[in-house]
Amino acid sequence: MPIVMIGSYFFVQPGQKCFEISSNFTNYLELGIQKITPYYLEAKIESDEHRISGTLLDRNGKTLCSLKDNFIETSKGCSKEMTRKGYRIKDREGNRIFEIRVEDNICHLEGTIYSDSGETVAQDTDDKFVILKGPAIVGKGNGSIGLKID
Amino acid sequence: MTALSVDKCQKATGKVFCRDIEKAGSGFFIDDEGLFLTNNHVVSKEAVDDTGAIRIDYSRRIQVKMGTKMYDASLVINENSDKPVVYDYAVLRIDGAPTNHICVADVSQVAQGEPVLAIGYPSNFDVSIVTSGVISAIISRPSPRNALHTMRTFLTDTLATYGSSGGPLVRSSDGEVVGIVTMPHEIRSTIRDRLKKHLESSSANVTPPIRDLINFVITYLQEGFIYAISIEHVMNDDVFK
Repeated sequence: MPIVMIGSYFFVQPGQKCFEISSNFTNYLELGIQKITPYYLEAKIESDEHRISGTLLDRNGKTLCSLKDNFIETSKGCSKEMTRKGYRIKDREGNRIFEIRVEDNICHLEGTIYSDSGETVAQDTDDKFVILKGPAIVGKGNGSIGLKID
Repeated sequence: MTALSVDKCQKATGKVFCRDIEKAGSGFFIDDEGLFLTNNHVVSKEAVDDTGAIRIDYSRRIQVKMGTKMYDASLVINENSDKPVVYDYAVLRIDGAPTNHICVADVSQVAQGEPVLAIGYPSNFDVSIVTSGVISAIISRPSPRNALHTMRTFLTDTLATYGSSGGPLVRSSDGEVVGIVTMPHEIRSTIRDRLKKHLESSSANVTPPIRDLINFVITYLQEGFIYAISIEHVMNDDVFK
């Protein structure tokens, strides 16, 4: 049964640097499990920057690229387009897979995160980035976790 | 820093020309193998397309003047990396040039108030200009090209102006480079350019006292604090790994 959570703050206060996840605000997001799930996305605030790392797959479940602190580490045909407020990751055909945009300290995630079976793990719908499939972690700090989705 | 060390730094600094994109600046050697650093904005032109994507076009003919001799330079670029664009640096290779170079400092040891020298070829000078000042502050500021990233930057009262971009900011105590001099504050540059355009486009309608005032403001805007991007951002590039 789907659970909808809106308007919550995980380890952040209004005005602080954060990520918006379906109108919730958090200092940390993890989709998948590093080195276990073929896809993985980690969004964190570090050195006063919004930083994204992980492995992105295309809609067929094939590895597209790996990111380390917003920079492409390895690419299998993906491209990165820089914008003034963030960047876009595009697949081999030039379709946007993932985009981040920072406005007023809030980092908005857009696009679709695919699993290795091509299933949608998370995507933006009606301007909201919605997590559809676990495992995921929203919010992290002082040795504790805000929300864990199995 | 001795006169000999200043002379060594000056000999390692050159004037960069990119005539095809109408840009010029300064730069410096950081090793004996011909690796030369300057600002990315000195050797490239930037445009933003309809989708908001930033397109960078590099000069196809980069030349560097060392002393009285002109050398062709080539870009050393990892095409998958946009770090040089984000952190505003460019690594060039110049073959056959003199082997003077400036050693890279351990920037973690740089302290506020430390005396520094900026070396470069501002305005239309054909000789290198050395100016002195101190590290006024060590700040973190958003990249002018991509606000997502912050850059460790040295704020200094060292005098610099157009053409100084890309030159080294060296520590006076040992002549090691701590940063790459970049443009004066972006807002100041924008206002200055607007005033200049206004003066050019409406010179007939501007009375002499107003023209004098605008010229004074333009001159004033050329001075003041400048930024130097910490050399650590360059040293993290794949080229040096």
